[in-house]
Amino acid sequence: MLVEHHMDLVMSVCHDVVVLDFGKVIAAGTPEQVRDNPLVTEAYLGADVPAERPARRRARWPGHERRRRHPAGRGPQLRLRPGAGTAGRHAHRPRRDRHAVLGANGAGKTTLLRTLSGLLRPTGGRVLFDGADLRGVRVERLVRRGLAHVPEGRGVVAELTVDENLRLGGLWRRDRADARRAQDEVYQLFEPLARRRRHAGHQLSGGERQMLALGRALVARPRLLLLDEPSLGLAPRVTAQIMALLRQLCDSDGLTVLLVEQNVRSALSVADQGVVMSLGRVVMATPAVQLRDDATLRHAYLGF
Amino acid sequence: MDRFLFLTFDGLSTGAVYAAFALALVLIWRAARLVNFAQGAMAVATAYVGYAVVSATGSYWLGFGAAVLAGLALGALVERVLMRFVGHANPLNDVIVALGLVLLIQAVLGIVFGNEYRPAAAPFDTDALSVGGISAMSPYDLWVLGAVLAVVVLLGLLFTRTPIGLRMRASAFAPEVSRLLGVNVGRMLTVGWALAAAVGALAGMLVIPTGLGLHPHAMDLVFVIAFTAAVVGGLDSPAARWSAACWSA
Repeated sequence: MLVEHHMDLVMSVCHDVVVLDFGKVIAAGTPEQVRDNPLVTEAYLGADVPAERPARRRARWPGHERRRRHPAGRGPQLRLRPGAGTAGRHAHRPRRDRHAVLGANGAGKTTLLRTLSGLLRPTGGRVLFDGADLRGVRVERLVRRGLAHVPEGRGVVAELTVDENLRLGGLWRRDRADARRAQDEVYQLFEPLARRRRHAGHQLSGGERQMLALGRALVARPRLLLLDEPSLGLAPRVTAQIMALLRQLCDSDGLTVLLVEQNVRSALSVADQGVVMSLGRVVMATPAVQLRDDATLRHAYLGF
Repeated sequence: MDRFLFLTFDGLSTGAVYAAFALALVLIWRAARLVNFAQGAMAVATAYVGYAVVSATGSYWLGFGAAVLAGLALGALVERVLMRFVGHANPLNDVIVALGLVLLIQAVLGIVFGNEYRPAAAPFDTDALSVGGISAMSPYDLWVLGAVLAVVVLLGLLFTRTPIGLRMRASAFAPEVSRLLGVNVGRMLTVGWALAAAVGALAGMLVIPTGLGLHPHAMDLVFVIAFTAAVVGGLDSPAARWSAACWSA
């Protein structure tokens, strides 16, 4: 008897497969029977996210006018070339603004982000941002170049208050007044945070923590935002809100987002480019609309 | 009753010194997750600097300031050239290196200044004042208590009210996230060590005149008591530490 979530292995060695989801058996039978069960696909790829249009949050990110420093309001162009911390075979040359990196557990998505932001040293290749090589640039300098990384598990400093967390995001900035302004804008954007300014990070709910982590990154007024699993542990409704907000930030601010997600449906609801990773390699990079029903994606997650 | 009151007041100032010394231990513990076993030796070294300045200039206050400045410098130096390069995977590494530093500092002090007790003058009278026929605290005790209280208040303000304090706290709680937010965590560690050693130097300057005088081993016992107080009070809780320090006095 084998307990395993790597479907590749399971499918190749087992005669009988039982699939569990949240403590319930959702499928059982031969590998072929399990493979064709739509519930299994849903459990691994995530259900469709209700396409929530941000009716209430239509108010644009208030700082957008000042931030159009980039030509045509576009964020920096992003390329994932082979060797950027992962052994990718396909060069990725997106021309749009929101990229989702998809793949099963252990595919190397987080490793990719951590390499981009300098937390890990690439074994080969280059990390180019705005034409400059980021290898050898100290992690704490990257935010000054316009790159913000919201790490896995959100990285809210639990011992500090909401206000302190937000201030921390802007401490490096020389323009104190604008840091202050950016912080006020975050409070406008996320009303729940404004109500909990004096509360410590550990008192916040999962959704509030995600808002805080995202808001704290925005205080730096980044041009490239690296987001690691923002939907992790959040209710689908909250996830949809966060995704809608991301879409809005990109549209109004020219922010480029690189989103790492395990939840394919929610990621593709916001991204316009998809990068699929499997076992440390980029196996595909295409426009997101083509990715939804692509077999490569299914293979990367389910191994068949 | 008189004796009880005297011991209580006397204990207050002694306890304050232990609390300050324990505070220095806790500062480094919180910043770097290691107990600085070399803190006693470092404090003695700065006290030698302080009293060298006292005997050269004749001013206790110049010497006091010199000791605290020497503490800042020594703390930063120890972190930059020594502790930074110790692997923290095994906590024993830090302990061994710190103990080695103790031997080094005490040996150097012995060679330079000699292994005998040297007189260390107090700036105030150390005889207890009588209040209503009960001998309570000496002027020196009052100075000690006031100085420690001032340091505690100033450090509290530094950590809660200033940008560098926020950076230091964030670095201690979440170093990786802090780096992503643009905080130079390595520098914060150096600042933490410098502050801790300065507080240790202050505690050394305050406690040495109440003992036998300057000696390379003058702070050994103080270190043991302060360490006990820090552990009993909890290495992460300032208030509990204060009461534990007073209790152990």
